[in-house]
Amino acid sequence: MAAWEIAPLDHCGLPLSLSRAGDTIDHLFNGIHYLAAAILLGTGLVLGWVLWRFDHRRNPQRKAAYFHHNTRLEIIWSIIPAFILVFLAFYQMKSWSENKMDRPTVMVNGEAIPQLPLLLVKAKQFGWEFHYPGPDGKLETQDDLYIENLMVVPAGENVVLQLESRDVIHSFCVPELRLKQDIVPGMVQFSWFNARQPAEVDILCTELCGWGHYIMNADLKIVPRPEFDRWIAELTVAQEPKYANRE
Amino acid sequence: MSLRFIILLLSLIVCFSAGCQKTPAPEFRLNAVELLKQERLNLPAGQHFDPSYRLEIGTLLHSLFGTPNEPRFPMFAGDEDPAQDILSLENLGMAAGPVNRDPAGKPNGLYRKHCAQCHGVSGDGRGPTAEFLNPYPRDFRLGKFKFKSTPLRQPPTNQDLRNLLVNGIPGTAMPSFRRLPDAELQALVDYVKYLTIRGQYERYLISELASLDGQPLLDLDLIKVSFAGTAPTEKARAKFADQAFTIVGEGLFEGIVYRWLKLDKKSTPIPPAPAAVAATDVAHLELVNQGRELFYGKGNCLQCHGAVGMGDGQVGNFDDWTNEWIKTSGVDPNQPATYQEFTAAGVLPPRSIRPRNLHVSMFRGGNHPNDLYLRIANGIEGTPMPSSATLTPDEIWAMVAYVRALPFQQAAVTVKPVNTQTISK
Repeated sequence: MAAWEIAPLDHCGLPLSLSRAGDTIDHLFNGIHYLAAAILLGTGLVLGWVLWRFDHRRNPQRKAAYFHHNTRLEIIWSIIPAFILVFLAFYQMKSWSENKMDRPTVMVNGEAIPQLPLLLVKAKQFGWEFHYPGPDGKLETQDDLYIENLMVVPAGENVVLQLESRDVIHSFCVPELRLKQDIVPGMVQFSWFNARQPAEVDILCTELCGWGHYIMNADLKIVPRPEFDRWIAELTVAQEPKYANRE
Repeated sequence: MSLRFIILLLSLIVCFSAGCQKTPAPEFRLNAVELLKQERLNLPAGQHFDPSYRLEIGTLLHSLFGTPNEPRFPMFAGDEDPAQDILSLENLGMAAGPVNRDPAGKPNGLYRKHCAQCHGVSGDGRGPTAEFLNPYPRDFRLGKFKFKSTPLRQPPTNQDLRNLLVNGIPGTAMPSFRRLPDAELQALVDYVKYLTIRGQYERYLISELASLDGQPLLDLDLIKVSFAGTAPTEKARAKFADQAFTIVGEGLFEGIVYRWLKLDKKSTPIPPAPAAVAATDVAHLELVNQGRELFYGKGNCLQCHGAVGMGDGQVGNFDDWTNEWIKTSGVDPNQPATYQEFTAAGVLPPRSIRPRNLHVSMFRGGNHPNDLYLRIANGIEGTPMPSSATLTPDEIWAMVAYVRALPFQQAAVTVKPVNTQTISK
């Protein structure tokens, strides 16, 4: 009962994970939860048993003894948690490097180079700006497409985001992707994910950024590639002027 | 029962019942700034209007437009009621009132949920957060909107107001409300129109009354009778409104409501752009340089936007919302002591309006070529940015190309030395 409440067996009360990285994080999350639950239960049972077994009524003749410094005990309770922590540190290393350090790469002329960002995310008080490359295919040029509070990305592909802040510290969070990245003004950060299926989820700001923090959320639409291409084409048409003398 | 127990019980009762009393329903705030301004304009120094002025204005507005909880909109006789083309009463009901949901799950009080904290319950731009924001939130009551597709002195179209809600205004505290359903957006648009028309009418009334040299505009006997110690009855209000409407209704209709009709036909047409506006076009640089010539020449943009477009040219101007009261005699924006009375009436300390820094690639009315075309062609209502009567559409497109290329000019535009002598003049 207690274990059930501490760690519900199904993804710990979080929404269903939409990416492989999310699955790994769930796996770590659940593992640590169960470990903590087992330790809590075990130490609780031992404590209860001691209270019951060495009760004064049950042992009227025995007197409590005061002592300190038990080297053997101290070594045991230092080594076991240390072992657990070292184990966790190594066990999660791959997940950390995949999610935060090794940006996905693409092969260009037989050479693996870091994948370019699909879009630029600018956080501001209180909303999200999403800048997509325009017809020239480059970000931060004058023909960038720009939309507020709606981000659309293709499913089943590595997506790299470039994150920047216009004012204060914000944090880009998509619970379904188990993705959370603080955005610090003046810094350019990159974040990436690979969503396995189409979905419509929320983007939240998870850093208290001012009075309007509560309204700072946006829609994330994960769509199949053809639909993404169509959406970009529509956005391009909507944001470009009608040209007079163009064939 | 010990004394201590009784005290504990009493204090618990006090704690639990605190906050139980009903907060009074919010009221529209009278435009005290306009009243004060008209007093300064029409009366000898130190004198004030008769208190019956406030009563008259308040009662008339109440009977025509209702309260924040129960908005009304003046309806006109005849089959073709123009009011229907401007807003729907059903939408007003959805946006007004306290934040709530009706039994069917339809939301109420959208304006107070999303807008009132900055724009204020009366739409006067004096919500609780207003003084902490830069720029200040918009005061709708002047009836002026900056970012719209219609020419100067025309109200914005329905679509213009919707676009502002959907996209927000970059560079200001106005966020995007893209996530709201369509019906809720339209309800808010209608409510903004309602507050605007109400505010415009209020200003109109105040100035009409003020110009009568202390003579009341209406026969006040009706309200005097019903106000003898008690609140006016609904019947007295309705009678008063009837009488008032026949006297000033025509002015309302002609002067304010009529301008809000058939606006979609009044949008400035955007002619097709030359292909060179696109950065990928071979002739792009040529067009950008043409725009540059216009920026320093015919367009005279450098006067405000500065020698290199950093927004550091003429920076001492004020917008119309500030000019409204700051032009009153005796007010000096640099000396707070001279405008204390206005601050007490509800204005916030004046701030000069900054011309846009064109190197940031963030434009409040939108970055897209069409948005920029409208800004240059129509100007920006309520600000020193003028409309360009002398520029041809092709010249405007050239300026659009230049303004879009400016933030990226290191690579795109060859920097010619600017004649500093013309700038210093």
